[in-house]
Parts: sequence; structure tokens; C-alpha cells
Amino acid sequence: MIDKRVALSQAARLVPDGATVAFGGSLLHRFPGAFARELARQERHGLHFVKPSPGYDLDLLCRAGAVDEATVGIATMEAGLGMLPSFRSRAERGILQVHEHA
Amino acid sequence: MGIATGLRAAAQGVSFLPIAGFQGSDLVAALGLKTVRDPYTDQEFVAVPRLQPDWAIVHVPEADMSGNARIYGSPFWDRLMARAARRTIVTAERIVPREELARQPERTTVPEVLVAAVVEAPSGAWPGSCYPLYQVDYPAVERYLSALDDDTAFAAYLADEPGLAARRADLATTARLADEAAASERRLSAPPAVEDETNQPGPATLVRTLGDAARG
Repeated sequence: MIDKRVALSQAARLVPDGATVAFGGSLLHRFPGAFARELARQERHGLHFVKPSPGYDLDLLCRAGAVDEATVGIATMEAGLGMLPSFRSRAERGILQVHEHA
Repeated sequence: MGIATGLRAAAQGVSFLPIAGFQGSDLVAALGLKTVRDPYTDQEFVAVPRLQPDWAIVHVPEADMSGNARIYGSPFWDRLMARAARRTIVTAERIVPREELARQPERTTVPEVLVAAVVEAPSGAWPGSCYPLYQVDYPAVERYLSALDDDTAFAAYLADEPGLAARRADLATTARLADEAAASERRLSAPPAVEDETNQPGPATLVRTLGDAARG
């Protein structure tokens, strides 16, 4: 049995700039929020973000300038909270390449 | 649909998978997807190329120190992502003894062989939910949305994680609820004590088991 426990900051350092990362969870449920914030604090750049139904996690990484490319299906905060403002802004300005799936 | 198919191709070690249901969508052209002809029936399908993440990042209620991870409720695409990605990082509300997961190995969503690192991260899905520990913290999501307009506010948001300390205090009190939910799930999915020779849980057995669980 291998002990693979590391600190959050160490785990985030495993993901280099430019990596393709798939985030678990769905919309506002069970997404790796602490991990997303740590990537943002470490000023990661050029990530390709993959998730069928991202929300807060994708938006936060867009706001932090960490994501250049996103492969997503539905991307929203959920009812009552609206769209993902940072994701939308970067897509509209052409600095985020979006691959939209159903 | 297309994303899951691309991840499935990666998990299965093939360069594409055919998919039904994309026909007629503008997304086929927008994504530059090609079609493939079934050599058996001559039917045409959209072919989704492999989508292999370098990393899958999954947050779970429970994992052991080696990365065996258990999810309660829907696994969403986490199970598939871990199998499609080159390697997986697991963040977990709590680290549990290996023996606890080994008692019900079929409940392990992500096996340790796929996992490179494990992080103990209480409230790791905050401000989102993590069943059965906590619900979505909607006021905290709104605080995030209000911190986006200027760089100073956003930097402060990342530095301070406002609300997280309080959230973690709450979590200590809800750990008991998680234990109860886990015990309940164990009762529900434990092999039923049936007397027929096949020892297979039939519908009647399942109803009886559910009834026993409901009665506590």
C-alpha cells in the first residue's frame, strides 16, 4: 500500500501549464473547488479544461487566466445564478477557444 | 454526449468511437467531426475522436491514502474521467482506512492504480455540494460572482476564501450525518441474507432489505 497523500499545493504543481485537465462533478455539485482555487493561486496558464457540465470551477479558472481552451457541454452556474461571466467574456473576446458539445 | 464518447474512446484505448444521435446537429460541422461507415450494416455514424486528459481531478467524500476513492450519490463522469486520463488526482473530504473501503470493494469508484496523488481536502467542493456532507452554499457562490469585476477583489477572494473557515466548522458537525448515511448505504447494499440456493437478491429481497433499512 503506497501512501500517496500530498498537500493541495503539491498536488496542483503536478499539473503543468498547457495540460489537458478533466474536472469531476457536475454544475455546482462535487466539483474540485479547492483544487481549482489552488491552480489559480499558482497562476497556471494555458490549460485545456474538459467537462460535460462545468460551472464555478471553469469560470474561476477563466477569471484567473488559467484556461485557453475548453471542451464543454452545458456551462452554467445553475438556475437563478445565470451564465458563467468569466467564461463568456473570454469566449466573446476570442481569447478562449471553446469546443461545444451537446 | 460527445465529450463522454471521446473520454470512452480514451478509456478503451481506441482512437475514436461512433456515436448515434449527433445527426442533424450543427455541432458536427462546428467541431469538424467526421463520419464512419459500419462495415457490418453500412450505416453511417459520427466518429468522435479520443479525448485523453493528461489529468483527471476528482473530489470525493472518502478515499484511502493510496487513492481508492468512494463517491456517494451520482458519480457523474468522474469514473469515466479517471479511466480516460493518463493519471488522476483525488481530493477527499476525509481519508479513511483501507479496510473500510475493502469491506465493499464494488463501491470504490476510482481504484488506486489510476491515482497519482491524494489530498485531504475538507470542504474541497465548497461552495458546491458534496453529498452527503453538505449542500450548495449559494450565498458563497454569489460572493464569488461579486468578486469578479476588479482584480483586487478577485485576488482577495483567492487569498482569503471567504466563508471557508465557517464552512469547515459546519463540516465537523455534519461528519456525524455522513457516518449515518454511510452506515445506511452499507445496510442497503450489503449482500442480503436470503435462503434460496442462488443467493441472488431478487425484487422481494430488495424490498425486504429496503424495509429493514427504513425501520432502522
